[in-house]
Amino acid sequence: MSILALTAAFDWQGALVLVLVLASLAFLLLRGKAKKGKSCGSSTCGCVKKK
Amino acid sequence: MDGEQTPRLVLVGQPNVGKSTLFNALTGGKAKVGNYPGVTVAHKSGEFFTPHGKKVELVDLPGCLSLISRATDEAVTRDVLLGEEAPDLVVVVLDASSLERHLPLALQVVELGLPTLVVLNKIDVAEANGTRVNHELLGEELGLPVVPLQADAGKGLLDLKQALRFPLPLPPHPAWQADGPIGKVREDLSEKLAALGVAAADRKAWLLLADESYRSDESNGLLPEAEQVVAEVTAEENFAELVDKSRRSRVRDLAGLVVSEASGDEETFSDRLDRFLLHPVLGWVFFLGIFFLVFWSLFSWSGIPMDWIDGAFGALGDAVSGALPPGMFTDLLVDGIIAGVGGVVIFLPQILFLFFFLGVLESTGYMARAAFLMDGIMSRVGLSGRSFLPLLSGYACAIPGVMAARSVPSAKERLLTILILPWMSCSARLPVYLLLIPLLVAGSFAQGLVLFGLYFLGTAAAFLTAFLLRGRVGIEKDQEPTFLMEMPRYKGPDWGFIFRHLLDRAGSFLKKAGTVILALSILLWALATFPQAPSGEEQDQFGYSAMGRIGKVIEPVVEPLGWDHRLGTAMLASFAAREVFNSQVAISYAIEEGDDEEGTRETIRDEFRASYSIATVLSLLVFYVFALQCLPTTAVVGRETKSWKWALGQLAGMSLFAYLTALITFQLVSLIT
Repeated sequence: MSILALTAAFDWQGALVLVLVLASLAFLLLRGKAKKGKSCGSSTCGCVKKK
Repeated sequence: MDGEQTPRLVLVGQPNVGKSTLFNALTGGKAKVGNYPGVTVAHKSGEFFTPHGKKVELVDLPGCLSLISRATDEAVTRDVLLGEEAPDLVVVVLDASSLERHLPLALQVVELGLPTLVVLNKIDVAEANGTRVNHELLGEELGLPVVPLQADAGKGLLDLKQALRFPLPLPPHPAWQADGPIGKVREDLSEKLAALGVAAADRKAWLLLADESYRSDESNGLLPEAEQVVAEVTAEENFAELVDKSRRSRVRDLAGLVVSEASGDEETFSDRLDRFLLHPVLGWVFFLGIFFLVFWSLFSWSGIPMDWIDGAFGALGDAVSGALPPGMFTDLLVDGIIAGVGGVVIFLPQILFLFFFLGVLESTGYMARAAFLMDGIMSRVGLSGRSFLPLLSGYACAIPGVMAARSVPSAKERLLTILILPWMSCSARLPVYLLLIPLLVAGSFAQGLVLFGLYFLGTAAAFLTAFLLRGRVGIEKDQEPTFLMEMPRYKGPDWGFIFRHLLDRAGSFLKKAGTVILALSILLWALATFPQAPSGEEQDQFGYSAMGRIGKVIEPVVEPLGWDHRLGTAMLASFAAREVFNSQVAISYAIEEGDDEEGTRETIRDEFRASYSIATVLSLLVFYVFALQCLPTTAVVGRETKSWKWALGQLAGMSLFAYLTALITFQLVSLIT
């Protein structure tokens, strides 16, 4: 099969969906990890940072 | 001070004195959050230049009534001033309109012996009240520069910057104490502590003499030898009382000397208004009326901007499905992202309306009256008005509310405040309420009333729980916490403050929608789309998908509440973020429609209305009022209370309570209807 035919047959929508789903999962997991032990970022609440 | 280093100035003053306004006026509002050296608490800091071209760092410390305090946030100010890396200059901000009440804090700072400058803020309010403060004489008496200013109008800022000549003003001599017995004892104690290697011995000696509770506080960091020296020095005389007495007498003298009143007994506009707004009966009528009007306006005024957003998301969905060929990615964009994020963003106008009105109430001075009225009820359940502000923050988000509970001095009362705080309906619940309420009743008046009722339900349950839990956390039944607060005078709304506040709220709401809700919408869509139902068969795609199967597993648990697998999964997804309930409902309907058309707010409501009874909608609302579906809150409660027992107990208790009340609601309403 030629490259052109392969390219045309490739399910690029499916691939994009896979990338987005994996990226969302990674974002949510890393976000939860990065938050540990940090302040909430509010400029007024004065949250504790543990040393 | 090292010439190369940027001098560090700290702002010290009582709450509401205008420290943050002054901070914003000096730094242009450009603040970053950081840690003060040696103090493990974040604070706002910024930079500005003096007229002489010197760069200065400015730190905004939490409001504090006294350096002798047990409240966690007030102790921050004390610890910063007593720390090894003392600030180069303490700027004490006083309210010129009630100088006598603010002077004790200034004298405490002076007694510490740090370079100090006094700012007399709200000089305009003092003059409007007929109060004149001779700031030059006050400066002479204190031996310090005293600058009158009006921070909210930017008046006097240049004088303040010019007063920051370098080298910075020398520490003044607390003349009212230096000659007496306290001066000698302090010197003696300071020398002994320094010999034992205690850092900042002079300032520490002052606090050990002035604050009895600090002596017995385990966190004072003193070694046993130093403790013994302190015990010997303080054995014979009650120095705390002596220090306090001499300071009080100095405050009286100073106030008599520098403050002159034009006419003492004249009733001001604020006093006249307070006769109605703080009236034992009428006050509550106004309180309930004002808050009902706020909730009513959310429904009656926000229809037009909500229609715009709804229309924009609808048009975007149509444009995307028209422009892209049919396929999985197009489905994800239209049914997942646009439906999921749109289902939440649509409620932005209502959230902004709520915070606009809260901002108006706060900046005009009404919130302080609301705290005063609430204090009457709160003291009966073991809480004081000091808990009002943390609880009020809880209506925006429980996390800053839990942190703000540090301002509650009593540890027991603070724990009680934190335990009930998640029942204040936070803004993440609002989109769920706003989606469901129109399914119950029509007309903005009735809808406002239901929303008001939901907020009331959460608050009333919180107070009732506080009443029941007060014994468990160790508050005696007959103990009524005391609360002293200063009523700010009424003034026009501070539009700048309100606008900044709204921008902040809109920014954080849209940021959440564009990050967490977006990512969750993509995952929820994937879970509701895969595995795909075999083509050619009459098969319900949602029921066939992973999400549908999870829903079927939990269905027996949620069925008694009148929910099906769709609502069950939406509730589960809400543990990541409550707003996701709306996304999940929107996505599940969009997928079932399967026609690449984004379901609008009205079509979702129509479908919802056709699928579920009033009893189901009510049980959902009750569940969302009471459930603690916010894992970040549990983490913060665990950290703040230093006890996972309380944090997990709160999560389990609130979830169980939410389930049981939703169950009772559904069963009872089903019987009636």
